[in-house]
Amino acid sequence: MKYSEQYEQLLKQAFSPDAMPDEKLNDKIRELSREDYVMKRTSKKKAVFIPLVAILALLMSMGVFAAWNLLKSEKVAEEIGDDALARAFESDDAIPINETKVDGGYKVTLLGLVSGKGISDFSGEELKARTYAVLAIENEDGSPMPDTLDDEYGKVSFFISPLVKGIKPWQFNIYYMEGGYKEFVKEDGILYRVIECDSIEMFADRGLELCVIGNSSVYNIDAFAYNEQTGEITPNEDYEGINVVFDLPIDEKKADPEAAERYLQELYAEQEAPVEEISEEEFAKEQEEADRLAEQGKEIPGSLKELKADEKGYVYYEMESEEYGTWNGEYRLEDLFPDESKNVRNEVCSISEGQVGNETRRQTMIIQFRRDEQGKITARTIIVESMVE
Amino acid sequence: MNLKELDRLIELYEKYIYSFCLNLTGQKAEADDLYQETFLKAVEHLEKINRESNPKAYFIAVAAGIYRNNRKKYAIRYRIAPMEPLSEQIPETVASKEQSPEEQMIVRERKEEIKKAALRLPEKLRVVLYMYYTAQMTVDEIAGALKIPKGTVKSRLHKARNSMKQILEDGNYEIF
Repeated sequence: MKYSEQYEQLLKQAFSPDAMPDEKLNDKIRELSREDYVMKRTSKKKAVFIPLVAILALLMSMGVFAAWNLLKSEKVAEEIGDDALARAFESDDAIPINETKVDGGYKVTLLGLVSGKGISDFSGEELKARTYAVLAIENEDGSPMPDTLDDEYGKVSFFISPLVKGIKPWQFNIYYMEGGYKEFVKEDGILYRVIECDSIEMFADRGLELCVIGNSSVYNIDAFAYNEQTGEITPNEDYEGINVVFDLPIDEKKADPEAAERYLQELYAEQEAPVEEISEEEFAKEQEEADRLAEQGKEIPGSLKELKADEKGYVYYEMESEEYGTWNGEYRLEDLFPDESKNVRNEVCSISEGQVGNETRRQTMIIQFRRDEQGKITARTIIVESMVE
Repeated sequence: MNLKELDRLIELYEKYIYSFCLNLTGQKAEADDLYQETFLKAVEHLEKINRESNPKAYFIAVAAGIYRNNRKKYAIRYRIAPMEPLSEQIPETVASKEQSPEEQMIVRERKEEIKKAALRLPEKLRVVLYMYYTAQMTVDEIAGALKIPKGTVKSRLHKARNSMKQILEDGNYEIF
């Protein structure tokens, strides 16, 4: 064995995960978690807000009502366990908004936003400035939004993103700004979402907006009309679902046109970068390997789905497994089945490795697409467990 | 995710998460605190875990975050109560039964020296080192958890290995 291999082996031994917590400690965690869980679940039954809301709604305008009824941004940040962000929302840098828009059966309130570097407990070691916005979403009829533990949760999706006036929204939105969100449903049935992305302050001189699109988890071009001349977007009345826009009052002085231009150039360069192509020979070899692996694997129960292609020829496959996690992806039929000769296509989508004792185990996840004689497309997920030699 | 599933997560990942906490904090009492805080914080965000396809990486990222935000507390406690050798707190599972008592002792000593050397590394390197070897996360997973580029993870791992080798050599400790 080479010296470096011996050293590596020694490191693996020295840092191997061979310590276990006391069972009493786990019991304590279970007990505390249960208390927390029970508290959250039972408190849901209290409907103290309803009569008060009914009276106040008569007396107050919608804007005031919303501000009173909803949690403040800092409280929402606390609820998601982000104390640093809560402090940021209490600081002078934060912009409280409290504006409500009603559309498509929902009432959405933009509570506030804040931007800065390292202002979240979850910033990691990231040094980039980020923008955070807090929103509340309620059913217009006052019925509660599905709890996150409810089966109905997530069935109606919302895409929420800042947009920059003059930049095509489908080319530049939260998806391209390293965005993400966290959300929870409070016991009064109001859903709160905290979105985050790279700081938008640098674009402040161009005009900033925030769009909310219902029934979609990505930017949907049907939701808004984009005016190429003015760079403005307007909601399409025919869109089925909520589609509203809020103005983001970020001080123009915070703009940094040079940084903004650099950011956009980097993004466009990334978008236009050619996809690394592999030779036909390499591709065939990869396919053979995927086919060989798929034969050795087992199907994840419940992963088999029939897929329908959309008008552009794309199929969407989504799989969720408690044991193996989730996977979703969009595939072009033409790429999956380039000709009539082959009606099974195996796509390796993830490979993970882990140490079990002295062995390294590999888990390969493969999506297998099939096309039958009638043209019906199905997909299933196959898991292959193997040992690394 | 319900609490039954949380039980399952404990069963599946307790050794990775606890070992990570123990290596990071350097002593059992602190590791217990960090491990407990990690689970309780994670429980607050059950829905987040539900959407995570990689719960182990999520727990480790939460543990690293709590540690980072409370490192002053851990550093103070560390000074008040000096650390016992880690090997005294860890069950003997690594030493092979086929080894003689002398060989087992040598293995334990080696591990001890390596762990001590790791404690002298900057925190950034230690976190990556423990994520890789103790939590057995891939470079991709570490990059995702710390929100840093994959290249940075690789470079920190490389630096950690080299620095430890240097520390061991400077201490006239023979690895082999």
